[in-house]
Amino acid sequence: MAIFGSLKDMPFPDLVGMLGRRSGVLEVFHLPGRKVGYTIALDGGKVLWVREGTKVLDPVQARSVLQELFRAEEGAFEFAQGTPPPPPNGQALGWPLERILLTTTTVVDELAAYRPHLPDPKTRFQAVALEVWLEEPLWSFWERARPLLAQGASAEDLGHRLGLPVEEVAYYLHKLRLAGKVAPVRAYQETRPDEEKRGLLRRLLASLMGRRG
Amino acid sequence: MRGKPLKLLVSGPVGAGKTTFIQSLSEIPVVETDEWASEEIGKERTTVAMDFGLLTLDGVPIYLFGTPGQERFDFMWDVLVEGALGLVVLVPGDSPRDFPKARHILEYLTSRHPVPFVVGVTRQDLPKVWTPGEVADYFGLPPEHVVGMNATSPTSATLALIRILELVTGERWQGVW
Repeated sequence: MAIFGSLKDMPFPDLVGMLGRRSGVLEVFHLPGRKVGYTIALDGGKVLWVREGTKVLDPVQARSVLQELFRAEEGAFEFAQGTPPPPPNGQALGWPLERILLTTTTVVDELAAYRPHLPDPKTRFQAVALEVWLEEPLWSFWERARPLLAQGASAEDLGHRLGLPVEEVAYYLHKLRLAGKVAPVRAYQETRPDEEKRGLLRRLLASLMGRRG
Repeated sequence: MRGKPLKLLVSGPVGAGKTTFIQSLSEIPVVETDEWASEEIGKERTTVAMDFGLLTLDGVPIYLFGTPGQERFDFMWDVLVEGALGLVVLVPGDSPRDFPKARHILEYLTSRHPVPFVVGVTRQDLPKVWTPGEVADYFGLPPEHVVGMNATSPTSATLALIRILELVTGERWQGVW
């Protein structure tokens, strides 16, 4: 038995639904704009680990790859059934496939709906709440982004530092902003004008007030 | 004696009243760069490069720059805001469809450049219009950063400028608001 084909004919969500509770290793390759393919280890319908080329991905990156695959319209796949190798770091993701299917579909739909409202990739945000309760995948993103957001970071900065697509980071920042966990940096509050400039501005203010009178 | 020139930037979505705002403050005829709009923006002519006006306060010239509202000129924002004394982002209070664009502009500029700012909610003379407080909630801003105005009124534009200076100096002028 061989499970293989093209994502053009069998989109990734269909493939995931079809794999059901199987165990094995799914290779996805020939993706447009990608030099290396992805490998996903499945054990009884759960995702154990995700690899990009030879690099095992952390949970946030793994989720991002699954989202990318859910949107992919081209590419090839091949599934080798059997017992998959354990995760190299000993920590399995343990994500049930059907739940991934549901949450990823939600993210993809939400991303499409939010797209016109996403912040500019260069707009800087900072954390405004430290104790937060969030659902996945927002929680994993928050955990990784929090140290960078403490100083102020844009979607572009975070995407670069965390190895995530910029638009996906902009989506997470938008959601975190809606939840009141981050807010845009107001750069002028980070610097105080010197006394000479403040004096000048006071003069201008007095002049304006005189005009009003 | 003339002081070193300062710069005030006026930004906002298409049709928010940027050119009118500058006209109402400027001591000279405003240099406009109006052209026929190249995309559907709800009016025939619009600013394509920038507007320029001049206001002199206590001998200090203040250059008034207005950004073009169309998206394809967004690249000019960073150039124009560099070193500005303040930023006024105008948003038409009767047109909530323009709020996301105005917020996008405001957050892009103020998170990257140390520029004090106010949001001016124009068309306050209309019967059905968002109040400054309501717009402050949408933008997630403290109420003192949002002023209601009628862009055609010089007093209204002056009050917006006063508010920026108050925010920078940290001094509130009693009895004004």
